[in-house]
Amino acid sequence: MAVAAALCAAATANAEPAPQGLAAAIAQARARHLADTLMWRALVHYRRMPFRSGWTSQADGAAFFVAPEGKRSPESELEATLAALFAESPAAPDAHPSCRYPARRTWLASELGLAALPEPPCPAYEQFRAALDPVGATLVFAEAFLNNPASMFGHTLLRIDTKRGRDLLGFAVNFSGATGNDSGIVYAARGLTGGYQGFFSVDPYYEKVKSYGDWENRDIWEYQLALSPEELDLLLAHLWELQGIAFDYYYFDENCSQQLLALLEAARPALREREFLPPWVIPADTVRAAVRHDLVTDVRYRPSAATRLRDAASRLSRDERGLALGIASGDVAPDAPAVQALPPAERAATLDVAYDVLRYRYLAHDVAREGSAGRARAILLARSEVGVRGAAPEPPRPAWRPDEGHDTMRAAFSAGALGDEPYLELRFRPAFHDQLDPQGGYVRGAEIQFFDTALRVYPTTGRARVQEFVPLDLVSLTPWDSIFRPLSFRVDTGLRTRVAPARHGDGVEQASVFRNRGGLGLSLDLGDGALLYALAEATGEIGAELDHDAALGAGGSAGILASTPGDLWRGELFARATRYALGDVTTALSAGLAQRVTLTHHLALELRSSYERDFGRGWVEGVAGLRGYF
Amino acid sequence: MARFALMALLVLAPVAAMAGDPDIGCGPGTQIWAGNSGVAPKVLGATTNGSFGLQTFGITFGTLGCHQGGKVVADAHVREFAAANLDALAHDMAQGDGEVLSTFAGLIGVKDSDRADFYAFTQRNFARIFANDDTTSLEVLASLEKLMAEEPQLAVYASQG
Repeated sequence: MAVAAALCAAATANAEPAPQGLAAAIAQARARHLADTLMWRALVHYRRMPFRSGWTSQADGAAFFVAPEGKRSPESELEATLAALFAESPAAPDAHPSCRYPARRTWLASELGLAALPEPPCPAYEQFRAALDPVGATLVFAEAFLNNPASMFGHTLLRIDTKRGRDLLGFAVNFSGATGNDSGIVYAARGLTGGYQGFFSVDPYYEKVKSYGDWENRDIWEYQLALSPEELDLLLAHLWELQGIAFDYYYFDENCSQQLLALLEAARPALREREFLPPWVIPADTVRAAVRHDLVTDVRYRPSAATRLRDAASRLSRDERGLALGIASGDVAPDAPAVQALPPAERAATLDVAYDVLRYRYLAHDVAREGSAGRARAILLARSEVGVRGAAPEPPRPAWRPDEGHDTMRAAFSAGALGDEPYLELRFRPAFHDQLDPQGGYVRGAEIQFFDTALRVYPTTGRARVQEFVPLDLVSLTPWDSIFRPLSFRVDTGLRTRVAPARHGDGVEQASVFRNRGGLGLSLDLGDGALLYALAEATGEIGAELDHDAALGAGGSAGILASTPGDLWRGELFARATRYALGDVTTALSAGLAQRVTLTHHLALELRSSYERDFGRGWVEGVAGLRGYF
Repeated sequence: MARFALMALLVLAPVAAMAGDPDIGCGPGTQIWAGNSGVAPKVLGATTNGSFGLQTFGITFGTLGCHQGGKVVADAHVREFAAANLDALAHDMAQGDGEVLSTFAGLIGVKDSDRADFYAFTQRNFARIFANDDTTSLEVLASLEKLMAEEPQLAVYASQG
């Protein structure tokens, strides 16, 4: 009964007679506190900002606001918008504010029952709507791409599905920083400090599939969204309002994912879970938010060109694979007797792989177009003459979707012993994933950690210290095989602890050093998800306890990573040697076994034991702990 | 906002140095078939990947209306789609199957009941549709239209529909 009564009350409120004019509309908007609703905050992108009272819009382009003080005042902006919507129609088409703010108009008219608003002609907006012709929307997630700092965590965009076709013919709505040709350090500096402006863009979706799937070889996941026609209408109308509007772009928080979520809020305001932005927004979290709000109906997996090629090649026999590689490199003619001798289905599959290898090498700039074009045509000509119709089978879909992976914040509590001295350790990592974490939903062999921090206490002596503070740790282990020849690499930088001989007496003491380490090498697939790697490394350190306050070293690391089927257990057998030649001349060694056992989706057991040697002293270290993901 | 900016900036220097190729992320806008090489692909890439620096929506196709069953070469959608996906279209036609080919068939209005015949037709006529190493997407469409006009079952999709 109470519910029914409430519904009736709401219905009565909505059925109030429409205000005859602007004054009545404003009075009603004030009485109902419309400027203080989730929807209005979504439409004008108002947020709470640190160190500021009230609301601030994230939009930075002045053209986005009707009121001069609109960026900081939801009330003024709402009332100015109402005044603009009631304004007389100017002669020129598209010139009326109704054409500029179709989402605000739709929402305000429906909330306030504004039946008598002017209805000026908006041919440009009509054309935009007709071009997009929406029937639905899909949230698209492109997996992480470690070779580009801008894509390390993955990327999200929105696809507008049209009547003409849901898939390739949809439109990709993308938010990106206008970084021009800046790269490297300039990108980092400007991207982190808001030095770029970001804009929404709309392109054919097949262009995005090409750039992410074919060129960058990132698997793509498509999450179909359950939006009602009204929600979809508001989404498109709001997208129009954002055309050409600049947003300051910040790598960590005001990035593609956060802005995309903000766009979706215009359709589903409840998506906003907090008014302050979290300090970082990770693309997979956008997808998780959509799933959490029951917005996702169907999920499709679109494997990248490399994933398809790897899978198709794995279906060939060794001889067929050899033939395919020979054909791709031009050593074997597509109609050579050895190829002709294959049964039709095998011949078709071999030629398909040959073409894809050639295309992959061409896109990777490994081969020039001269010669490739003729070879490509010869391969396809031979393929068309086999007469077997059909593309290679779809690669199997990974067991875990990106949104099903472990949460990216991690805290760990562990107990261990360094030599015979026990210690307790508390570790916190804001983001994102390491080699031992559960692999499901993450890119294989990729490790990205930000601000991993460990505090250690030695109860017997009462000493406490910052054991590690590592702002950045990046590892990419991609297996090398007959088709793909990527380098594996590591980069990490941060505060570490080394055990050095005491300055006074003959004990040891722990010394803090700031260490930069880089490594380059190869990885090999050992089958069943096991990976062997070997990297040559260079190490530079700065620390007050070091001789001359600095040390430079060279060395290498190698190891084997393996999991049980289903990944409940994962282990790494590792070894590293570093010869320090500048500063203290010494050789540091480390070898051991690290293991993780998954207990629940949010909890894992961690075990690590190793033998360490530094400054001519050796000791054993063992530690066990619990990792929590949240 | 960007509260880690300064610290993160310092530590990201190694990553930044690592990302040496400024073109990574924009993607080389190139295809084997489209007849681009050398510097051209990068220029093409810059224009193809319109999301960098583009301040207005680059909807260049879709605005001209959809010619269901219309002439293949005249349709702007079809031209843009074929030009942008020529490598994959070539492969799909040679194997007589694939997502790009089925999307293309949808664009030129081939009915579901004629799809299998159309796919087999493109495979059978691959040598004539992709007549030489430097065939452009427009030439592909023109050859295709000419060949389809000669095929009783498919002629309806090639002429004015």
